[in-house]
Amino acid sequence: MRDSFSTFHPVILLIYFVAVLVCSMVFMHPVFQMIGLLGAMTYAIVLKGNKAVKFNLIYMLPLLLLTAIINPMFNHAGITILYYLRNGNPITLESILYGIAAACMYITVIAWFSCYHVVMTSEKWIFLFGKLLPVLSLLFSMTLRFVPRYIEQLKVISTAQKCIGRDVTQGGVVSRARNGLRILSMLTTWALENAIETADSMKSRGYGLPGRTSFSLYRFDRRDRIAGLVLAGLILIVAAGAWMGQNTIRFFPSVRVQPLTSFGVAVYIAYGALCLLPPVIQLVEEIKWRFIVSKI
Amino acid sequence: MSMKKWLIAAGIVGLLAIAYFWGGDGPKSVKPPVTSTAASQAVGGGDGAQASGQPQASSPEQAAGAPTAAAGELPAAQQQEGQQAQSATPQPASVSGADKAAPAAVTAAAAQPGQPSAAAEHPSAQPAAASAVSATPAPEQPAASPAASQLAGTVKPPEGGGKDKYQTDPVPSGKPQPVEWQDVKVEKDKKLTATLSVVCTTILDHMDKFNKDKREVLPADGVIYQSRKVTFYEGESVFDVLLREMKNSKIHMEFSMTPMYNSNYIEGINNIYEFDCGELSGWMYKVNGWYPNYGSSRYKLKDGDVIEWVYTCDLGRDIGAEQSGGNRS
Repeated sequence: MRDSFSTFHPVILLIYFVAVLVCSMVFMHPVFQMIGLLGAMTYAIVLKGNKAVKFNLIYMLPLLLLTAIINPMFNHAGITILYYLRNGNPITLESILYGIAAACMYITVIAWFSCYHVVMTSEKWIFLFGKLLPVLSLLFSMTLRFVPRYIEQLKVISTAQKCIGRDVTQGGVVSRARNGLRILSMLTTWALENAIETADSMKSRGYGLPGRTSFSLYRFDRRDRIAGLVLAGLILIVAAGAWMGQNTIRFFPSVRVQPLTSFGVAVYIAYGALCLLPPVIQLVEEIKWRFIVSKI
Repeated sequence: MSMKKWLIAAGIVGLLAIAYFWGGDGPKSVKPPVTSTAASQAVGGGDGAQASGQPQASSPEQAAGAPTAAAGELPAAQQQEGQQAQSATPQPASVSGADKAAPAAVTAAAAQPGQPSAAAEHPSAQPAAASAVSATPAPEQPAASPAASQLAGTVKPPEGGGKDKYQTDPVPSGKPQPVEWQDVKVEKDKKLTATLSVVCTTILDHMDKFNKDKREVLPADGVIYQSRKVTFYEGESVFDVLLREMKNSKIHMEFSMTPMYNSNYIEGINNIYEFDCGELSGWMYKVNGWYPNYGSSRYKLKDGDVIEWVYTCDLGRDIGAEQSGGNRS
């Protein structure tokens, strides 16, 4: 499925991801945590479908539980004592709540980054920073490509080795280990050579030279302008909420949030709109498309 | 061009390797001068200085000048070296090692620039002195041995100034010695009484520094646990009593074991934690008016002891603990 938010101008995408990442890292308020988690999960599922669901259930859920449990084991602050550990330190409600909030934040940030990885391709990254920091942005995009690329190449090498009976799945324990090491060595050699080749090829094309122009498909058109304005408005409201203390929560010694006001509700709605912006855009586009199709 | 760079790099690495194996901090480099004449000693010393002192810079004038100086005034240089060694030693207490003059002199050469065992890597500040040391041991062994032995003393880890194995300074006379809680057996049938109180009145004088979030847990009069008689069992420590009483009174308390001091450290009582009132704040305890210089888990209580847990905002100076720093609970 084609995601329509990804087709926006890279500047808009960058602003969006910086905003949601900073917000989900800074605001510990439970409402904000829930909104952020919901938005990140929804977008990840929109982008990656079943794979994201599986990933979240298999890895993220246990991670969430683990992180939530670990905090009260080591942090005993808080006024509501639930019970005592064997060594005499108390388990408090506040530290459990803090653990859950921290775990939620952790998961949300990971989910946002997984979306970021799909949306902000290296092409967009280089478009944004190629002029400003040519070497660094190339290095960055190459580094981000490393892991998926190595896995691909590893599969290729492994298949080829299997044909001559030298895969890690063949032979006894010792020969398996030897085969595995051999495959790893091939991969390393290939990786080193490939990195140098990429760098040379970019250099031979004049990458990063002063007068060089580069072709890009990105235009900052009306749609991007509107999206930028909407983004700026939502971010401003959320920032105002942060300024007023609506987004913050104090966990220790007792949980304390600011009483809910109508302005607070407005901030929540703004943050919700910010986090659910990409799926909403996708939905609107989908409806539009259906509408157009049915008319023909 | 790149070939040249490689050659230079290889040369530097080779020089470093030579300096490492041949330099002034291995016994091998001293042995040849021991068996040879004074002239060869000077040359050997020069080599040692060149190898150990400046593997990269290796200015020929210095390397050439060093041996002549060493050969010309061997005893003087040696004495000077001895004095320098003496001034460099933090503790002039002589320990065993006089019989191993030659190896000790080597350690002296290593220790003299101020950085033990790093002579091969760091260019020595005094090439002449270094050469003198590596050349001296042969002619006058008895003269070399005192300085050498003193330096051997410094190379050894310091004794610790009378601290016990848990970093505790000597306990003043008349005060109870620390008792390791692992060795103590609590006798549940022997009931004794002590007086316990937990107060943080010092915070009231430093409200400007106090953590604003914690204001709600601060008692108005600063008394968290009113002074009262508590029962404990023979062999229990101050920490055991505090833990039990805080549990019984449903007062929050957090602590952590510190193996280095073999004692539990009280991080916070009633949610008033260390560092909540400035970076010099925390909980301290006194028994019968004295702030022990060891942890509360190591203080074995006697019948009728008066325990006071006091919050300090200034490392104990504001609550009358004469010794700051080391006697935190």
